[in-house]
Amino acid sequence: MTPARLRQALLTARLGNWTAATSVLPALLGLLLPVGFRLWAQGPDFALPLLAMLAATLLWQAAFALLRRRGIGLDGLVTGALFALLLPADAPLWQAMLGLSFGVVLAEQVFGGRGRNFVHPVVVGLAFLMFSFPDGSWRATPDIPLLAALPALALLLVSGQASWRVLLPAVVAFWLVVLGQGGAPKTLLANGGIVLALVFLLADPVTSAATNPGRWLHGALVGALAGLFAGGSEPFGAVVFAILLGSILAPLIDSGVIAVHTRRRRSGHG
Amino acid sequence: MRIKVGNGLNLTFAGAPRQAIRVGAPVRTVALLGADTPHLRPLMRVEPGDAVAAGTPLFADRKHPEMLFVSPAAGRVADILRGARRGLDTLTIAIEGDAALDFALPQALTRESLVALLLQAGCWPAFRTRPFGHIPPLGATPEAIVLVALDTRPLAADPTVVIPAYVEWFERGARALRLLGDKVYLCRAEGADIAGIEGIETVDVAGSHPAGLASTLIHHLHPVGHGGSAWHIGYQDIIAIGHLLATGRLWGERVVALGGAALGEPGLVVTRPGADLRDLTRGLLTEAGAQLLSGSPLDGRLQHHLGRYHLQVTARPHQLPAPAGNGWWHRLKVLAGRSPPALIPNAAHERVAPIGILPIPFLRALEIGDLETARRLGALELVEEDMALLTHVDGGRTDYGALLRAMLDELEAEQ
Repeated sequence: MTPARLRQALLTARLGNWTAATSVLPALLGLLLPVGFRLWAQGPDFALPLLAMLAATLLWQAAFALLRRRGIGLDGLVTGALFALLLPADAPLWQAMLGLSFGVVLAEQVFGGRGRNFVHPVVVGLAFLMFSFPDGSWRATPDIPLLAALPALALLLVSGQASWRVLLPAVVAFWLVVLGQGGAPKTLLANGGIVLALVFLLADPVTSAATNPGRWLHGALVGALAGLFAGGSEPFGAVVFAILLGSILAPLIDSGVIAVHTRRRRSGHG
Repeated sequence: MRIKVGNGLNLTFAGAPRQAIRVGAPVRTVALLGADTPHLRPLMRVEPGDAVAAGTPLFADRKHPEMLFVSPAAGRVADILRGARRGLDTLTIAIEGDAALDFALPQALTRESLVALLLQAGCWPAFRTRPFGHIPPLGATPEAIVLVALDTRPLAADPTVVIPAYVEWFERGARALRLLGDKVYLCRAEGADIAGIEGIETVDVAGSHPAGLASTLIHHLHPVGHGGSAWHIGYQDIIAIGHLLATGRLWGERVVALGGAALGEPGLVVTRPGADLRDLTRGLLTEAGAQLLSGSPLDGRLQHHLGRYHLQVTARPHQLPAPAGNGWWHRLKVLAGRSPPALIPNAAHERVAPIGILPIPFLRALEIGDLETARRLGALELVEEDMALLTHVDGGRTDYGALLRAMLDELEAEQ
């Protein structure tokens, strides 16, 4: 395959008409390996929460779909599986269900479902649990090997759904801030759970910044915040909170970018 | 001068036309379509059954009675179909004979005499404006005129094949257009064998589609997003003006690219303006029931006649609705498809966005009807065709072109 052919093939993969329905497929494929690993490692101890989270997500989706007379997308599978993956191993199931329901309903479904939300339901659900049950191990970094998370990273980058313009500055900023505080950024980042959080939650196309300059700022902001928070607590909790703050600030970043863009258009073009 | 368009995308579609001109199959009817001039309220000059020659006025713009729309061919008015709100849907002419009006050519070509001739011969509608993409009002002086001598749409005819065949008229027409505007630009593909013309700035354009769309060129040459206006005209309309100036008659031909997956011998054919597409593709379709689009596979319109501004025809296989299966996969697809489409941003949006547009904020503004944000983000620089790639990569379920037009109508009403 010549480089030109390869480039064309990659572009075709990127431009294969990603509708709201089919855009879920790369994400689902990417989750297969981490889910498979956890099932292999933990067996029923992971199968039960996984099924429970999937069922709860689909239940809420179905409820809202019935209420609004709309269809159900496949994105609920990603939300449910991702939430189950990022839970600590000893999580009480009812608490987890509560957190997931909070996230899915209040962060996604009330806004009209995936594509119309501004924070990711998994982020909101996890943050809810970390706040509400501070005794639990919710901030603990999930036990997923780095290798299992890499296919998801590759799939989402190639399909154009996760932007490297968010991920790269986030990693660089995190690295610099942690290094400045005398930490070890490499060991913190080389974890499948952290990578999944960055790929699915930080670089989520819907809730990250929506302009290219905004994406750089958004990524750098989240990386720096995560680095700062990581100094005092579990790195996973730090990353989740940083992503939550980043998503909330992303629209503000975008409006700043739009303002600058408009001013440049005006002055440059008379 | 050189324009380099960094992003953009040349999509590949089956049935690319062979870039050689042949004579097209004879057509029995030609038509003028209301879809080409959506806001026009016609003042009819003919009735069904009237005999017309090539150049006979058929109707005028009710607001500007001097702006004539003339018959492209000799024959008989077969049918006048009125559209919504006293508009025109289709005016069909059955071709008979070859009578043609001779227009009196001015002794000395001045701005006034040229404008009068173009209006009388129905060539004025060849110009369109930015903002809004309408035919320019009478008496307006353009700040810039962009002569578009490249075409980057998929399956389009290559102007470097068409222009040399009519080079004398092309150059004559282009030279005449210098009288109309202070600043005239001739845009050609980089490396194209199209000679520059004295008094006209030649612009070499490099890059993928939408590099060759008028909005892209105007954005680089004379942006109109925050005031001002520019006109553009296509290369075959320039040839038509040159022909009119040389002979006093209308140019009754167009070179049209026939392409698409359902077309047997894709290539360039000489036919008439407004030609009947069913006649034109007779014997060339590889499957019964192929759909004929006037325009490119990205944003062509499903219709029976060639559009006023279209230089290509796309024949695509009939897209049957998916068989109503009972399988779980089918049910899942139906269930997922019932949701109103939400915009999931993708790298593809950034890649195919019109130049200088922040695609995601712009599409969101279009979707929710946020007029002010859309204007700030550059809506006034765009028309429907500029949104075609975005609609395509987004799965085609939201017609951003139609949303943009609705917004432009509101912005225009405000002014």
